[in-house]
Amino acid sequence: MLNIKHLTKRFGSKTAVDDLSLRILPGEIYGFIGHNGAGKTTTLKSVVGILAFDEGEIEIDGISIKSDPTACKRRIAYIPDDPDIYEFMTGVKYLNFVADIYGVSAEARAERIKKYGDLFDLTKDLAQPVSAYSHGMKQKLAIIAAWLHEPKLIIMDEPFVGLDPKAAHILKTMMHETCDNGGAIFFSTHVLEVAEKLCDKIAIIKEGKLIRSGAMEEVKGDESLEEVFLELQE
Amino acid sequence: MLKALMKKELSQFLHFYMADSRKKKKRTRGAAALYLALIAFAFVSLGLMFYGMATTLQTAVAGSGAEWVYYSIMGVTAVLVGVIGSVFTANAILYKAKDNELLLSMPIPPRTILFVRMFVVFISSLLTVALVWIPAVLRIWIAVGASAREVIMQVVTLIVLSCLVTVLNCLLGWLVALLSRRVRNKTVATVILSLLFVGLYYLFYFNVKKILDYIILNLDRIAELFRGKAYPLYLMGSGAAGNVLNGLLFALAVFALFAAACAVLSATLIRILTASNAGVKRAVYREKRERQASAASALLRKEAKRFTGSAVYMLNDGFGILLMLLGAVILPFTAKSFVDPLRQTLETFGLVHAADFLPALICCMISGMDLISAASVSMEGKYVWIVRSMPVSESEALRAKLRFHLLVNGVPALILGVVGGIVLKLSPVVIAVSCLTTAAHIWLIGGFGLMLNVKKPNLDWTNEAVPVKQGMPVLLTMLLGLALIIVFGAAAIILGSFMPAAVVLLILAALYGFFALLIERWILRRGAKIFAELG
Repeated sequence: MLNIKHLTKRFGSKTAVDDLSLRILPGEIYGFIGHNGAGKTTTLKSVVGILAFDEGEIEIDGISIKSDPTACKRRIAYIPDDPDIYEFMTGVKYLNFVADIYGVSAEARAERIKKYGDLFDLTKDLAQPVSAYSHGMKQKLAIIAAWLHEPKLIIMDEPFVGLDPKAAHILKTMMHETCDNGGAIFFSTHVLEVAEKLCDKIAIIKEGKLIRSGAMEEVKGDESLEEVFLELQE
Repeated sequence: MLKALMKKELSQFLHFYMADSRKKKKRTRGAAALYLALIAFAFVSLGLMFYGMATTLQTAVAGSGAEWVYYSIMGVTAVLVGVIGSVFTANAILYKAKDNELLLSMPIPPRTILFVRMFVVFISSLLTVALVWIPAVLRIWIAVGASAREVIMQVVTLIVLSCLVTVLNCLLGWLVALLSRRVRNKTVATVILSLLFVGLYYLFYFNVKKILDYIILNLDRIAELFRGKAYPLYLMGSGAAGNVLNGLLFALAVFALFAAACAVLSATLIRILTASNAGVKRAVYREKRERQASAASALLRKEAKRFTGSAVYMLNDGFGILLMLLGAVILPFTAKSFVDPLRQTLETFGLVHAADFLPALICCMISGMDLISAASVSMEGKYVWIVRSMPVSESEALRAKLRFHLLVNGVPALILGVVGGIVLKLSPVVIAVSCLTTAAHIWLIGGFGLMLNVKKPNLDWTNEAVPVKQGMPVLLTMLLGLALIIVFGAAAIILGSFMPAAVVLLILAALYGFFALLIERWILRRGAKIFAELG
């Protein structure tokens, strides 16, 4: 589903991501952890085609993001760490805008907006301008927008920040459902307990380099993920 | 604390001039100097207009014994210009800055936050007042000279007038904020209020000659009126003319007003900044089936929402649209009163065919005021990730911006062009070619603005007024509009003397179209690559 090969991204003299390789298969929830400034967001932004990278290759469903970014973007959805959503639109206008861009049919979008809107208890607020939304409501809207076109791969940067416990639980269920249907999830988080319980595989990044990756049980062994993470960061 | 806040505000104010937002680094000295030179050029160009007004008035007042009336009238003009154009900017600076909540969460008294914001409004007011006041005093220095005392008093009056404009702008901005809390569709309400102000401005602008003639003929009566019923104007005028006591009295009155405004505004600051839409009925979502649209259409509608969702954007970069539509409505009803006299006047000056150029010239002039595309990339701001992460190419995103500019300007311009052509009884061929020239002109202006904004975007603004009013792309595009009008005029006069108007217009359309095509190609190729690096 996602194949990152020797990804390197530099900002001037600073190497933000250094020769990073990862492979995410259909059905996998892949967690991405690391300290602040380790290179997580840079990697995620490179994967979704927002950030050009210096070396390496990223393939989504076998298609190179460099050579055909539009085809790659059709297969993915992205939720950034700060859900800055057009404040000049209402929630429903934003969802329809996203649906139009991804070519979601009128029937499918109506059904999905209702389904996810009701799940997150956001339906009644969809006619409100996004500017009136709280951070959590914006995050929920971003999640609904991401799931609207049923992407094969969902990339999320700190998706649980700002969500209430119920919404966080719903999101976890949605992540499992996506993977059960053959999709894949790649997300970053600082909440190690969540990563430990939720992820099939985990990657730990430090100063731009991938220092450990693989199946959760292999990476943490008999220790907790937190212990392994802290040991590796020292 | 106050010093730190002032420093922050000033660095924010200067950041755009001194830093390259795209490359995230400081502009080179040469680029900064060039930018400042361009601003100075625009300042001088506008100042020359007021110098003309000052000259007429000063000549009439000279030797009348009531020279202070000159300063009073120029002062009132400066205040009008300062207030009419900046109420909504003041509203945005005071109440819509993105760091308001951050500052409120810090141990800073609200009055300090307000004072610092008012200081920014003061800087902005000072620049606007200077636009009128400096030409006014320059005229006096050139015509009759000035003593050191007079010069000092003129400088003091400039500062005091700027303070007065600041107070008026802040109070009106405060009223707008209070009103908009009660209104669901803030943008529409803001636009209606703005149109009232702009209507006043144009009423003044189009009647300035009449007003000047009236003043010149009734100088004694006006002087008496000011002295009797508008005493502060007498104090201001006589102060600027060198009467220290009157000047200080005027300054004291303005500073007292300033203090009172500070007290009123700071008492309500937190309430306004933290208010929800009290009293406004919540919009309720009703499920309905939306029609599926293409990605191109969705992008175009997004641009329309972005434009209509910001009163500051609409009024500063799209006001010509309204003028063109108004013109098209008013023209048929007013044609009788001016068409024949206009033709006679043109014939008197030997410009028999000049009327053939008028519809296109006017449409180009007005549509050249619309700079929507020149701010459209910057207006993406923090939202740029949305389009960048979607399955649309960068060139599609940019094309939508250009298409929106062309559509919203092109349609009103073509309507005005056709109505103008019919009113002036031009031949269908000339009307058709006029429309073609106007369309090519709008294409060129739209493309040029977008090209500059792709090259020099500002995505880090905290206040919409910054990309919309103060951006280099906006300024340069406005200058290109002026330059194109000069090219148009020169072509009409030179080529029009030996060629039919339709041919001259065709040549202009071909010229504009050629450059517009080159620019569009650049936007869709190189521009798209630059856009891909944003965010």
